[in-house]
Amino acid sequence: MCWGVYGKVVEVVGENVKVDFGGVVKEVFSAVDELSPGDFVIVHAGIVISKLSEEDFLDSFKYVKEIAEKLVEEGEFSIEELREIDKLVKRLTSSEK
Amino acid sequence: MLNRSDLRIANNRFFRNNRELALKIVKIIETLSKNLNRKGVDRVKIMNFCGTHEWTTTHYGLRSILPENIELVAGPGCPVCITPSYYIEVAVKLSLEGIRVYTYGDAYKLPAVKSVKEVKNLAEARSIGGEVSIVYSLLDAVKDAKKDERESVFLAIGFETTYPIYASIILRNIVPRNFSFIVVGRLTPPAARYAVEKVGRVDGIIAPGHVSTVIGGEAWKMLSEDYGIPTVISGFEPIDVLISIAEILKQIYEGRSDVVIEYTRAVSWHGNVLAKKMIEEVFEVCDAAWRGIGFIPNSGYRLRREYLKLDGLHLYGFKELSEREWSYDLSIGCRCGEIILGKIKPVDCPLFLNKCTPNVPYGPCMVSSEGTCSIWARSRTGWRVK
Amino acid sequence: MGRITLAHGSGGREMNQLLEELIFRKIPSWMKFVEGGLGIDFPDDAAAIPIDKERYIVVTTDSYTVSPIFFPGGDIGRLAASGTINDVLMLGGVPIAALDSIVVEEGFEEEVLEKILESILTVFESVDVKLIGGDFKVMPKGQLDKIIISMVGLGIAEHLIIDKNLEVGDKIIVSGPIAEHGVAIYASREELMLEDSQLRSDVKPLTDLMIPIVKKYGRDIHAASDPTRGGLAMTLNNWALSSNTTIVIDEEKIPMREAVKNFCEMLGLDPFTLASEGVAVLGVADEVSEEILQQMHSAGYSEAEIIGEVRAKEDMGLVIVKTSIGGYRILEQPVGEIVPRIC
Repeated sequence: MCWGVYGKVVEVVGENVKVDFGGVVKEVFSAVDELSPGDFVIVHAGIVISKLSEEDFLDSFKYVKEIAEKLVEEGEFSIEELREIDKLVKRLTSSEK
Repeated sequence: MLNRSDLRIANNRFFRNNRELALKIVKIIETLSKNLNRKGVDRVKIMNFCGTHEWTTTHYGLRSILPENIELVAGPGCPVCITPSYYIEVAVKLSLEGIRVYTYGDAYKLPAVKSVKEVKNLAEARSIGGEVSIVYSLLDAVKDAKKDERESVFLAIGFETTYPIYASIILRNIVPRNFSFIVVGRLTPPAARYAVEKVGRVDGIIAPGHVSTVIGGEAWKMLSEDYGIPTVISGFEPIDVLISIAEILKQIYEGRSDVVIEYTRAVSWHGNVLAKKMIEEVFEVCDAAWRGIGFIPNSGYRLRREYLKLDGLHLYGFKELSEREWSYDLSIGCRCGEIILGKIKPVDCPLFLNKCTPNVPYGPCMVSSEGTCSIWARSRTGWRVK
Repeated sequence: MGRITLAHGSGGREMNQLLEELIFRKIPSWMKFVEGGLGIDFPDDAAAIPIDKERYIVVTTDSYTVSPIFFPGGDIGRLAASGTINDVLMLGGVPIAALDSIVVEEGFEEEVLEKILESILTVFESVDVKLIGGDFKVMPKGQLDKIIISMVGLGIAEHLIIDKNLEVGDKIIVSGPIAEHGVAIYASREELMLEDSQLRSDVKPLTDLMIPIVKKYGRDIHAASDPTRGGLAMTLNNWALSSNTTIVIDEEKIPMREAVKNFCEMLGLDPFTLASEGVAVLGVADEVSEEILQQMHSAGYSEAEIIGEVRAKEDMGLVIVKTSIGGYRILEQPVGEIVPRIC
């Protein structure tokens, strides 16, 4: 029961927020304090359950890097592979500008 | 840095439409799996607890690109599938007595074990004149119920993710006077505990990301502390799940069993404190039945005493289901109980795609879009596509 | 025998089963086609009767109901006229004329009917098709939901495009972004259009696209279809089954607008199962596939793409999707009513 949809807050209307789901705007409830326009949120069943964190957005990749580094240390993985992964993540982030 | 103007686009670019990175992670997973092999670990069984994770796994064909010795199984992750038959029977009865029953589309065809006036689900009830309305959200139901004076109940199925909206609407005091709830809320960690105790060896767990936005990473630490199982709280994009699998394998290799949040963009260790508080104000935790499984301690929500007037069962004179009165609630031959617990796969059930199809579902797991059997029936990716 | 449910009309597996059991099986084989032509022995809403050695009359039939009857991008009249023309085109025919049969509910407003008729005529005028006959009936209030339009389309073909002729190695081309019609209908039904104008039905006749291609590449086009009910999933599964092949498509190549993707995501709908009303899917010989694609682009269908290819039936006549991360999944025929998911 976890179908959550990402959207962008466009307006705060009292206790509710208007969220833009990429073309469709709906007013939904919120279970997150202090939302403001521009925030990205996860909406489930008509209520905001979480605000997306910009700072932690790419933290998931640190696991990939850590694991790859460890494998390189142990000689299981070539340093070139690791560099490629590094490059890939970097390229993704820089193309984001 | 990140594209601040649209995190949605960033999400899709990084975590969804990213063939190159997926290939790299699969390579890492292959290496880890070979290492484990050398250590004598020949099979790794990883269980998910969310229908959406199972959906991601099949929809993106993850099983087709992972090494064969990594087995991804679905645990109890579908709130529709585990809704005891009793509540469906009550809803069918009410609808036939002229009480309007609101339901999510997922539960519309959910079959009961016992028939009521020869019908076994809400869809059939409607075809013989029962009052049934499918809605997208509770808010739509409330809006609709306000249009007239008709008495209405809402079949309030869901895990922790879905309960903030119920709590919120009750706390704001905007429930119409003609409106009540059949409360079938269930909690996931107790079911996870039950599954790992009953199923036998599970080597790693992919914990539900959106449930965890509410309950937080801390709710899963018992899996590592009490059972020594590496647990990763994962997002729902294919790259998320691949990263989570790699992390689980790494932990197994290192002999660790930590709870780790992969879904860093949405989940915190303590979860959504406000949402938890809202739920707690309205609901209390109780022992509760899971379909085909039985009672699991502290695994359900019920309305607190002060909100009892919103309880449909109470209002219309139905008893709450008790452990003593609960009886096995799957139809003869149906193996959904074992499927829900991850003991068997849909293809192991002789009824799968024979007597039990998405068109004529026999068991609950074939009904909901989150049910393991339904997901497998829609893309059969349990079979490895070459 | 059971009762007919809405799922039986969704164009999915249920409908095929029902038709097979209730209708096709009961028709004696001699009754299924006119000698030398195409009949119900190859189930489709289009048929052909030979005129002489080089030509066929193509006949199609379809009934149109849609709720709401006016939707962003069109209305039931435009839908019926375009659908009829497209059905003729997909069989390789040049549309010539049509007959319509309109049934309305008692109390239906004349002004609305007039608008719908105008839509029909506008479409026919734009592609030079004659409306040569029709029928009109009224049903008592409550016995019909507003209006149903049935149409018969007539055309002439020199060569019939029959989907079972798909060959190993053929390329699959989609002429434009998919699921536009299905999404527009959903959005307007659920009052989700509020602040958005991007979700519009693609309903249109495909004459300008199909006629030149059919003329130039005739026999190299092995299959053609407009993925209406049941969407791309339905079309490709039908092809794989009737041609006894396996079709492999690349998810990344399938044209889809961002707003449509987002909408489907919001409601948990699978765009592959949603209808298009202005898109053609072609199965063409490998050698001419790039040329045809270029021709589509220069005919104004700039988002046309080669989305996959036909392979030998090693995987049981399935449609297989290469996913966005390089995995594979089976694309099944759509089943059941399409219900948005909450879970």
